[in-house]
Amino acid sequence: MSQVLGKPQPEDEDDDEEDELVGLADYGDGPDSSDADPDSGAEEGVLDFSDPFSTEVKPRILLMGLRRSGKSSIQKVVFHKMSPNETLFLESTNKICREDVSNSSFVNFQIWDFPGQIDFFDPTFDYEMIFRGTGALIFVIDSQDDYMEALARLHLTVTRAYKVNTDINFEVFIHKVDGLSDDHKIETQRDIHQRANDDLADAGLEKIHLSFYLTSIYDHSIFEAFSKVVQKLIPQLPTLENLLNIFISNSGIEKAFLFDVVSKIYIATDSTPVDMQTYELCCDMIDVVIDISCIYGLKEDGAGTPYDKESTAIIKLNNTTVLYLKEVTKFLALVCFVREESFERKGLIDYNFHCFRKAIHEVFEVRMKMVKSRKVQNRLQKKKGATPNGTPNVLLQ
Amino acid sequence: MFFNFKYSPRFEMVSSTSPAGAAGTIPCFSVGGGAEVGRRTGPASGSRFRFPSRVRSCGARAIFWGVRVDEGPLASRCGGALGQPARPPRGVDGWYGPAESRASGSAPPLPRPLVSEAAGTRAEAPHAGREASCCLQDTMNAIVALCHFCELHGPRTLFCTEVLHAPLPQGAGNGDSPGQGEQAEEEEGGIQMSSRIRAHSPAEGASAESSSPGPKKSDMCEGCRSLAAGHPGYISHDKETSIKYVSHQHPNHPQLFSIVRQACVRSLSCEVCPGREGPIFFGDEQHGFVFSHTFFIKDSLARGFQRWYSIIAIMMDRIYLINSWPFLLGKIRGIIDELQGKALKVFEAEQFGCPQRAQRMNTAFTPFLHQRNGNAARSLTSLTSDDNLWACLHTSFAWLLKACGSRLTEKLLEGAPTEDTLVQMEKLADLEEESESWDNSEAEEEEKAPVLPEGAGGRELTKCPTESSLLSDCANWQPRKLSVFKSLRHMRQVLGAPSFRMLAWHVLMGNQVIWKSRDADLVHSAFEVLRTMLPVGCVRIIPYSSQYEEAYRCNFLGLSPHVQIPSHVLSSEFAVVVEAHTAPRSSLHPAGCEDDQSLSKYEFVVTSGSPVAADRVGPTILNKMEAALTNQNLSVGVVDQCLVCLKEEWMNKVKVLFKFTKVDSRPKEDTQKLLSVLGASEEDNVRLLKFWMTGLSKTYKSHLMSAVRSPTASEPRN
Repeated sequence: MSQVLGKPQPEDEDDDEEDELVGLADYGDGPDSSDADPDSGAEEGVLDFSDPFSTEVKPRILLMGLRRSGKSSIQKVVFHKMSPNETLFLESTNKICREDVSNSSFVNFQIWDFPGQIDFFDPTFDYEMIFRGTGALIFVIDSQDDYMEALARLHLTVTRAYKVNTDINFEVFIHKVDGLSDDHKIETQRDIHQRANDDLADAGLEKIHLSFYLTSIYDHSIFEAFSKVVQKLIPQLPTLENLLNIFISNSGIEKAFLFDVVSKIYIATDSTPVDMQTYELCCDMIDVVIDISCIYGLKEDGAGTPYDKESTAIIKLNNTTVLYLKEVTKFLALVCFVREESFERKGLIDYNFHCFRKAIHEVFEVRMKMVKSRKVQNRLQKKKGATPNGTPNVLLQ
Repeated sequence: MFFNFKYSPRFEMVSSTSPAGAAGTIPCFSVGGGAEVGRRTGPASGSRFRFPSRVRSCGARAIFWGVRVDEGPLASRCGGALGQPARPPRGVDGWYGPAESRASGSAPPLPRPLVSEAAGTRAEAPHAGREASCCLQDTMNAIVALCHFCELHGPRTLFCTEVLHAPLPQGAGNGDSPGQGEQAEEEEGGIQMSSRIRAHSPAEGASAESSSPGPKKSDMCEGCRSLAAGHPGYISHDKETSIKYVSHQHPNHPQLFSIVRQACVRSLSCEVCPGREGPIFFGDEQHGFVFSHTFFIKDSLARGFQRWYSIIAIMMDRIYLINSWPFLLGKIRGIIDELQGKALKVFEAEQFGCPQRAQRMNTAFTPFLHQRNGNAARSLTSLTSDDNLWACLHTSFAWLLKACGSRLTEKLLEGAPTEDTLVQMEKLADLEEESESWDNSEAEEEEKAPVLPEGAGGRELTKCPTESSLLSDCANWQPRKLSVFKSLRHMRQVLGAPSFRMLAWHVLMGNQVIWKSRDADLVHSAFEVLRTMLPVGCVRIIPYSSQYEEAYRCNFLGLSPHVQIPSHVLSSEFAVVVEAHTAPRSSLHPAGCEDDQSLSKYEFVVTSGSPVAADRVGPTILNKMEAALTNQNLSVGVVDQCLVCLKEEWMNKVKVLFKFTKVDSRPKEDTQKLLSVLGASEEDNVRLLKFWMTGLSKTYKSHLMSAVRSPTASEPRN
């Protein structure tokens, strides 16, 4: 559980927070936020503090890239369940679209979708403010197009952003790979990787780490890539992984994912390698469960939610594998791959799941306590003592 | 044309082959004229009173007296074209004579406050255009621009229209015809649109070409270009005011360019209406204030099948812009509807020919369809299939600028506004409210329209305030004959000093003044002259009636000779009757003036129920007025000014008395002491003060009343 404490010290966090709040106000004032009235910032800050969740640091994920590279499509498909075909009819984005993703208790972030046409390094924009509160910068490159211009922009964006904030995770989505053959995909990734890193090396910025992903909205690769981006922003990730490891080893489970049900992003998995097909199967299972319970699970007047405490599903495949889904929290689901023979000991799995669930809730409680105590602390302007701690129950063999 | 265009403009497309970089002249004006105006603005702009009379409940709130110092350096810096140049509008003639005469001379050494005045429905009135420039020549100093969010390049300015003042701002006359040798067209009124832009010298043209701040040609696609590369733009001349309306893709002045560019980006990418299409207001002191209306244009080839556009109006004057909001919104919405209607037709025709939706679905997986530079950009001309689009937009924008500028006018005042001004503004606001509540039907506007232009009708009228004729019930009155009173002095000569004194005494005391005559004009002129003795708030005129009206309804009443006046009125000491009989030539009054010819046919008899007036000392102000009238060394203008001062002096005493008695409700003895301090303890003076108290402006009264509720005022009583 020490990982939970591995979060930044409260004072630092408070600082970040204030930065962010001011930053938001700045942005609200548009491109010339340099002459923004400082009062307005203060005001917004005060307003925000009344919100119980605002004391939480909400990392920002920026979606940048050239025009027409697929930024808005990604956002719509991942977070709005838009059908990939419908994205053909999206109009071009003309302003920064901000969206809060805070439905899951762990995944709390903002997605900023940038219009590709506008150069935000123009002096009229306060790009420092944009990057200051940023957790991850996703740069989208259209792999079906000539990407030299995109690489130039990538380099510029990354170096500028790094100057402002060294803590940003830089993620490069090599997008629209559905149009490429498998060989071509690998070749493109290698080429882009090579060029981008060479550019950085030439600028003496080898320490900037870029992660590359091949993505397409027509398959699950975009969800997987986004999952990885989001996971890096979850401070509790090692704890969660650890819990999952203990859980599967003690229950004879092959693979387990902790999913955010709405976005189908997995926020954690055990340390065994992730197989794309497994992930896709899990996604499909969630879809099936939600669809079925939408049709048959709701009351006649349409009340109730398709996903609640009772939600659970077992799908047996003909290759002696069983898919097992259970509710963990309001927003999270655990999806496991179990061998048929292991699944005979369902009682043990369920008991261990019970412990696992309890442990997850405890992790949340720690977080909620931290939030609360930070709030109290903010109010009292007092330095905070030790972080409350909790240990999960020992799992049964 | 997008809305009734009143200026019968002439269209002449600019030939792109005109010599020496025709576009070069424009920056020359822009810089020259701008600098000129800017310099003029310099000393004045530091402190200006801004009076948004459009803001209804305004009256004289505290802010009204606020000095807008903050604008000083700014207005002089980029005020050339944007800032309100403190140019004296001609309409102020006779308002405050000396102020006007000084203003039109060299740059005034003192900061001069400006008061804007609503010109009512002028702009909407279909034929007001021509006359407009006589009295309201100042134009809105704004830029109107059409912006577009280009698929390839992001926000871009497509087309903008700016106002250029002639190099000699007040060059009323032939000299102002901007040295362009277009005297031949001088006789044609209204705005003319023409292509004859002549470069003053080739050098200017060349330098302008190179220094043009717009984006490089390679950065332009069809979608973000309005006028073709060599197109010099459109220009409209407004002959009466020597103002030009110039349309271009980008403003040539670098400073303006960045302001417009900034506003364009904000209007399309930041300050977007939450309800997608719609108007929005934003801005700051540095980059100007912007009224922006975003809208979509249908395009079958665009992403999302539509494109973002916006029409923006940029002004440095926030209050003016906000006051113009309803007008701008209505007219810009009209332009947008027109554009959208045309585009929709084109869109439907294209969709009918080739349904894009299905096509896109089918070709979605074909690689390299998403070509970056495909058919991404189409010009607005092709989207609306209107080749004259830019010319039409030019006229629309020019009209918008002109009409918007004519709606509200700034007036020059020397010093703080007098009580009279405030009362007049209140009345004007009431009048406006009334006329608006009439659902501004066409017919009604037609009727009202002529009211204003006549304010500047002739030299005679400059003697009486323009707005007094507007406000009185007989606004359409114009002197047709010579048999009228021209001034108080003239009246005094005609009536004779004793009769005049008696009449004036009654006027000042607020007694009912009844004129009986067959000649309505004569009566009217008499009232116009007599009313100058009283504060505006105290004047209630019924110019000519066929029956007697009670004193509470009017203190000036004109009657035809046969009307019977009730006997109690005739015998009352609170009424005076002046009868004008047609007299034989022999009984001429002791008139020495030659221009009395026309009045000589009348004999005036002044009677009142009380004969006491003659031997009393009378109110102090009457004696002073008489002294001024008797002194032949003083010109009519000086006497007028003297009256203004006297009235203001006594209005101030009225204010003190009002506060003392009505608000603080002090005991009688204190009031008596106060009166003697004021030098108004005589009975006549007290009566006068009490009467004048009815003429205080509502706002002043309510201000005082509310102010007294504050703790500081109530402390003494506790």
